[in-house]
Amino acid sequence: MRTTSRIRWWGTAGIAVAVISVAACGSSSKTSSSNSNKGKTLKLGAVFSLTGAGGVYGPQQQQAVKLAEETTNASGGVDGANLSIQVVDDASNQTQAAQQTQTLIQQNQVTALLGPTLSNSAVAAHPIADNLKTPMLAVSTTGLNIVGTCPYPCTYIFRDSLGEATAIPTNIKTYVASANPKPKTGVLLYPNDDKFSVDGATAVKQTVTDPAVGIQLLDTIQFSKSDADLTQFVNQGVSKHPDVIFITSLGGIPAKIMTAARQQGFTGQFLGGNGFNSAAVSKQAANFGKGAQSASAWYLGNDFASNAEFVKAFKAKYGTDPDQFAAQAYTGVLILVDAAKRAKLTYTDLPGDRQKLRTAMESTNIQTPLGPFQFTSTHDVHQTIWVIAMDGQGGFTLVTSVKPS
Amino acid sequence: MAFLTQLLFHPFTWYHAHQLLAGQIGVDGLLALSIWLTLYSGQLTLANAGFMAIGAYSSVILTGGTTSTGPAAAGVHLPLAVAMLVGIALAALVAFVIGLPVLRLKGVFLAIATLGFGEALRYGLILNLGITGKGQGLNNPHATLTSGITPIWLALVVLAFLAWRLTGTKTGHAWAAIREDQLAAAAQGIDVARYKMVAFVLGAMVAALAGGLGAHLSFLIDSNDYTFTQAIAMLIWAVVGGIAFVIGPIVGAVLLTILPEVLRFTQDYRQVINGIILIAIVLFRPDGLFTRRKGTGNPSRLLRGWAFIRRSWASRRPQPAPP
Repeated sequence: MRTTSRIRWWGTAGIAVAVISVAACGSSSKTSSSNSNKGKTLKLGAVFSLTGAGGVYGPQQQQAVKLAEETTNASGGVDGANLSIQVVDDASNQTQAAQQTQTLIQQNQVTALLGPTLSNSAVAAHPIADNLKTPMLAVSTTGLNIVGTCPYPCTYIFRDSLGEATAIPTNIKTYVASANPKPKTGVLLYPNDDKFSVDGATAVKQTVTDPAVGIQLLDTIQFSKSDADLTQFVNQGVSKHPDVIFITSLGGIPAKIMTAARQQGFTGQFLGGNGFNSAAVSKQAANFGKGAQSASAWYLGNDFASNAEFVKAFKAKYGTDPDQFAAQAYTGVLILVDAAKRAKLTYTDLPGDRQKLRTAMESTNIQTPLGPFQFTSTHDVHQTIWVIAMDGQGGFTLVTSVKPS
Repeated sequence: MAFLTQLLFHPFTWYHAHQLLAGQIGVDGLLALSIWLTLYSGQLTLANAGFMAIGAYSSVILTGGTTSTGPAAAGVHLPLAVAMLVGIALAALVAFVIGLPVLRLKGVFLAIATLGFGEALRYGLILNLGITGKGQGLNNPHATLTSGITPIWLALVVLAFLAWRLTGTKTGHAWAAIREDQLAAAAQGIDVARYKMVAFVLGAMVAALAGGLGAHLSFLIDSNDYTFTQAIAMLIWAVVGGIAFVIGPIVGAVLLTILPEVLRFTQDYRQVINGIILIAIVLFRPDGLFTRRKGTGNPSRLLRGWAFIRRSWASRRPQPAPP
């Protein structure tokens, strides 16, 4: 008896749920397309490393994305539609990144995605988004094979972060062109168990053999990212008396190497990649890092309107200066919002909207905190590159800017 | 919370949005099974992350994996199943060779030696051999993604069943005897060295299978996926689940893989609560979730509870009328 009544209860509940969901679907599809999208919502997702190894970058990205969401909605949204960005944490783990990407697409029904923070996670998550035909814009990954020559057809994947394969050659060539006397010799130091660092080292090795550069690598010194003491490796490098020390690494490693090298009497130049471009690294290296030069996608001190407004708004909301990761994540939202406006989304046909958004993204041409921004034909960055140097006090000075070719 | 509600009440909707997690749970279950084999025979070995790497790299290289400079092994395109078998065979061979000296060690010394094997494999071979893509990782253009999930779960169910049946055989009894007291087992005429080696090699083979299957859920494999942390994770699953029954470590793996996702709603406190739950389990059930009752050798309450449910379920079936 009890069983039958329970079955009946569940049956009633089930019918109620079905009726409500049908009603919900009905009401959303009833609204006809008009120029103003009032009452509609553009749902985006972001997969960032808020915890774990990438936890030093993810939180700024989240802050920037939330700021962009706020400013967009305050200034009329996406042609009237409300912008809603859900940020999830992948714990710097590639499995979680892929899983969260799948969940955001299939369950939360987002139109497009930002992220993931780290290159390793991107290689796991991007194929999922591509497979489900949803645009995904990488805002901080700098490794090889993220866009362009991917191991899978990456037609829905874009990147607004400056790859090491562009940043490192640009930096080295800029330095060689202006240095007097010209550097003849160099030493390369990098941890061999980290994809970001090894990708960067590959770019250095290729660039130095360029006839326009012509630097002879006296030694290539590899260590592990978990090595606590790098003094012996730096010793080995400094003892070769190079003109330049190349460092391709991130986190605390560049500052450790700079400190040890200066203490051992190295007077030459430090050149590096994206790993230098964080205020934390500059602070840690302090006076030992003064003059260390790298190519950056963004420069804090740029006073053109799109950057000045971003820096001011970020500072007002969070009380600190933004960094490169924040600027690139903020730019990511601007790119998606601009594309959504141009794409004339229906807000009812999700697969169609994703397709339209992807097509619109390809013709992006907007002003961003990074400067004027476009995508290349392989969905990579086409922007001005800012060559910066550490100022010895935790900040950076602008050396020069390089227009995209 | 929504995650748990959906998992319990709408498993198909849940599965649709969490296929990769389901795949990962299956892989972790297989890894738990692999470490159970050695723990059941009383050996604390932590080499399974290394065997997992052997399985993963073999299966990707032999199915046409590419490094940043081109194909890892030019002209080699074996079917996935064959590549996987090669990986498993290679892991078995390596396990046998390193097992000869290493299995003479006991307790924490064995743990350190086997952990050393994993790190030596990573730093010595994987990061220095061109064929593995070194620190840049190995691209896997033939990843199966979601279609790889059924084989994973099939393998887990079949192997768990076989392992369970194995505990009732001569080998299973020998393992249990060695675990309880190695000297007494030897005195009874059990060939201790041989049975320990069998457990070690079988564990390596299951770990290599898990590595191969898991590698094909992703387009890139990277040496950082097979570190010491991964070896310790397997041990934690076994400790939480208990090693008296094969189901223990598997349940431990399933629970602990799903737990961070269940706790996602706690946001910033996720890791903290995850840790507190782990500590609570170890405090309140020091022998794991599934144990034998002390002294009697009978299954503990959790397992007996299951037996009770099964019996009462069976008694509900209509009994044939007496003739």
